[in-house]
Amino acid sequence: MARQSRGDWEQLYRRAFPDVYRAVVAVVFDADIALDSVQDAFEIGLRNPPKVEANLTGWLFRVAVRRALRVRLRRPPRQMPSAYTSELDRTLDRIETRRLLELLTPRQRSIVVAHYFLGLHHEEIASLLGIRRGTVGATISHALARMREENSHA
Amino acid sequence: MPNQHPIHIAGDLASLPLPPEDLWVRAHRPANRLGLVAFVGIAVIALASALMAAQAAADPQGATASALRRLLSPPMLSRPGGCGPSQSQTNSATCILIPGTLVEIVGHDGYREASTPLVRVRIDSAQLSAEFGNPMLLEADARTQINPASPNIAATGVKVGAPVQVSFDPRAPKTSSGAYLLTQFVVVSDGRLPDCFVELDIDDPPPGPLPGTGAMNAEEAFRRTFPNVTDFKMFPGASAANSFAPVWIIAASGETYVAYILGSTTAPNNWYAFRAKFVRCHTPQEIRDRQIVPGSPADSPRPDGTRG
Repeated sequence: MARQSRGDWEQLYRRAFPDVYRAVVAVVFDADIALDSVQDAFEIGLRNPPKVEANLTGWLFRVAVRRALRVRLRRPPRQMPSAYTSELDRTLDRIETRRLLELLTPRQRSIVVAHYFLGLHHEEIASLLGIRRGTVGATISHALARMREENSHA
Repeated sequence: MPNQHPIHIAGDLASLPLPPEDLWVRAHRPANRLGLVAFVGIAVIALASALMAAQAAADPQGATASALRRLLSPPMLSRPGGCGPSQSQTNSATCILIPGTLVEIVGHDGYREASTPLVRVRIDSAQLSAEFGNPMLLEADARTQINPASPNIAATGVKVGAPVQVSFDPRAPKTSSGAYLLTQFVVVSDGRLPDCFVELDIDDPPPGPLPGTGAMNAEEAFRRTFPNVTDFKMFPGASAANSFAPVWIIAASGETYVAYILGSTTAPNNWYAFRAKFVRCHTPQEIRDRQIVPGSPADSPRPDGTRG
């Protein structure tokens, strides 16, 4: 993606934000960390725009997840209104997906969410994460088996 | 269109509420602020260089800084990261790292906290010691560059008797404590991790390690994960003498890695190696304030021997 104005980049980013943010929440289950990481991805993209052929949603997701999973000893500053975080927590508690995703490692969650929520193909995930296509497939198979096993016991 | 899955991932996640739109982009702009800081820094450096040049012109006999430069033999001079090319060219005294030994962190609690920003350092050079004090009293402030990166000197975990390097401006007025103001404080290291609460940026590529599929020990894990890296040094974690402590690894290329146990320390094949970079030391207060990121590697034993 050629260097562009802040306004153009922000417009693209805002279009992708809902999916990317929800996907990162599904990996880290923390609203503040998810928001902080997606905001970081926006600022990184502003300085170093992704290549034109990149899947923008996938690129933002990859950068944000990488930031979110970085070993950190301090939480990001609280930005969220408490009413919002309460609503998010209630929703997360209610959905079945959370319980199943929590059975997986963060990396497995990233791949499962990228495929089943963001709709990325194995090739796209492999390209984004710098891994082989077969690794993506194997990870998804393994993760689904684990989730199905748990689901059948529930 | 999301791929279909019986566990309804797409539907469930689409129901998650979004934060208010005004929060989607940060209100403050760290990137721009950094730019501003860099700009101000460059301006200050340029101004300082101009002032020093003017002072040198007015003092042809050679000021204290010049004497300091003469006293230092070439091998003692080094160019720390904090001194830009323009500063090096001016041979600013504040860019010269002087070797010495840490004698005291004033007000140190014996751990990683101190009630003052003062340190006493015995300078190796007898001539400099005679001129500036033996040991010499130095004070850090918010602008002091500390290596390894830390909020203050005590947080680096540096011990009394450790070799250090310091730089200061001998022309600047002393602080209210009668100390010279430190511009840089460097803990001399052979490459191992500092003995502090380290923050590492660990590259844990997907799909993530599976329990029991690792190696029997750190070296085996490293050789297996990075077979092309054959020239490396291993530094077992300083915090524990047992074999479970994480191991810091430095390749001859300068790349750094960490090997540590994931999961049970008693189960076999649980050693894994990852690329890793040292980020900074944290203060004990920061550690007390920390909260754990769910599912993050912080849940695993960290290279400082603590557990998230």
